[in-house]
Amino acid sequence: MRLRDLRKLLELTFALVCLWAAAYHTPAGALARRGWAWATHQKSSAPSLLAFYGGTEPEVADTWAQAPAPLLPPETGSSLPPGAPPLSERLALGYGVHAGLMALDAAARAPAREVAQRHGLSPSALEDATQGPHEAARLLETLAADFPSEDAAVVALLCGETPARYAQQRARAEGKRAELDALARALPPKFEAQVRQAKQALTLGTAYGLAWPVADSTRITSPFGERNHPLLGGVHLHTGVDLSVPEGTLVHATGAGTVRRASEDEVNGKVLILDHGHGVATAYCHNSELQVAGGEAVTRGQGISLSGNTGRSTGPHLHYQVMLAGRPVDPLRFRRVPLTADRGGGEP
Amino acid sequence: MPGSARDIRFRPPPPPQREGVFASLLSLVRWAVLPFGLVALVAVGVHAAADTVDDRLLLAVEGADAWLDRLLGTWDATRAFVDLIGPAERLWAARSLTLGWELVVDLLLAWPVITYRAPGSGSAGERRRVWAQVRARPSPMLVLRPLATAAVCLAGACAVAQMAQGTFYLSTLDVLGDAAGPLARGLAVAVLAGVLLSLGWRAVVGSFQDACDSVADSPSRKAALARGLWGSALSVPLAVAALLDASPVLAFFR
Repeated sequence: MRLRDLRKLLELTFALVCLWAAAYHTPAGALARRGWAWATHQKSSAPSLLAFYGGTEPEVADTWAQAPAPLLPPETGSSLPPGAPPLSERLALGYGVHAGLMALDAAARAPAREVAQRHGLSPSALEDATQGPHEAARLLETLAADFPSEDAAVVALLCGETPARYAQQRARAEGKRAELDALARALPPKFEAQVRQAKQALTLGTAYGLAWPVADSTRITSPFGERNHPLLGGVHLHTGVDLSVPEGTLVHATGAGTVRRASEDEVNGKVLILDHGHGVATAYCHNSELQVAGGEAVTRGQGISLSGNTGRSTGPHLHYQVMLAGRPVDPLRFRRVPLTADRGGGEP
Repeated sequence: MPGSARDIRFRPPPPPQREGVFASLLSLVRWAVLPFGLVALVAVGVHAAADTVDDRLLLAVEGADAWLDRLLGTWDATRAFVDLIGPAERLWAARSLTLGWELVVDLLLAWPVITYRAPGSGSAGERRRVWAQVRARPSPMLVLRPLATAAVCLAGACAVAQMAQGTFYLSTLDVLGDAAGPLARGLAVAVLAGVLLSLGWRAVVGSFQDACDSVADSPSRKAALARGLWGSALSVPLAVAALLDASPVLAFFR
């Protein structure tokens, strides 16, 4: 082979490598893969176009929003102070990982089974509906020694320790934190399904770890779901829960995060939206005073506002809303302690 | 157009000399695949950059919605519209904006390179003619567009090299053991350099050629200055993001 031919061959190879990367790293590539799968009557593993920007796909969050029963087992016991998490962070993540794991097919669960076996845990217990979340939490605790960030630990559990260790090392080499996006970029395409489930696991794990913004025993005057709107009339989706608290009650951040929005309007009143990462956000409406500003970092349990009666409201209350991948979901689904809810028209 | 950049427009490959079947086939496949490879490189780079700005766009959408809610909430007649745009719509809008931005920049930067043909000789005479044209019709587009293309090509090459490194390392670790790490790193550096040398420069030259053609068509010097400003305004921020957040070149040596 002459030198010129060798050069052409190399150029061709690099062009093909770029096409391969584009198939997995661009929305256009995902579209092409979907087209190919459709043409060949196969199931496409390509994500939706908008899923390229951010965590869990909204369609997945829709299924969580529509699921009829709480995922967490109820617990009878003493009530929690405001801002206290209902589960330990590790167990919350364990629930998330278990849900993510169960969404994978048997072949894609192989790395997780292997990790469990290596650490002396029973792979079948990991998949058990009751024991699974606890086993996953135990495994995450074991993995924490090698994978300090929870993102890396989840990747290690779902993709296997070797790929996760490699991804973690690459993220460090880039000077980035071992967060899922950085880890996912370092992994080859064959881990696409596991990475997607890792995203969902982290979203659910973050949601399970959310505390309650006011005292645990606070009465819910209007639950999440379709209701007859007391002011507008007609059936509307109530996107959160209304908590009956007197004006001036301190509202606590239900999780660590960043203030994505601190604003006021005639409908929501003084409103705060906190971004907790991994596609989880919470909203607190009708406050009388906001104690944090946009862009500010908050810790779990930190006082962020005083409740009130501002905006479109018929009485003092706090409208608390949980959003997964932008979709409002019932905050009670992520509460461990069952709360009594009045099923009336309630506060707007 | 004598004296313009069109003179050094990519030319078709020279007529084949006495080549073997393999060489002819290779030339043909390369000729067919190379433009797609160039577009893929640009697309990967643009996406790597867009991926770093999506959170900032969500914040911007959130801010715009807060402003709109305040405005619409003022009057009874418009108050109902406040509920129309919820968190799901805001997220959708932010993601759609990012996707739209990415696709527009893809089009702006990849289109000029899709018509790639083998370059001309690049002789001193040709270079002088191009320089004369640039002086006659100076335009920011002549600098910004190739630079933006260069930035996204660098980000794209990094993403491609990262993918090659990860795939190689994790597929050969069992066989090669400890040697897999250094070999994978070497492969990544080779892919990074190879992609930039074989495709990256062509994309930049193609972009410059297209900018020259576009500016040459301007009716006046003033029109040439304003040529491509909107396109540059869209592509330059992503190019900056590509350079700052999506080009971990040094990481391949660590």
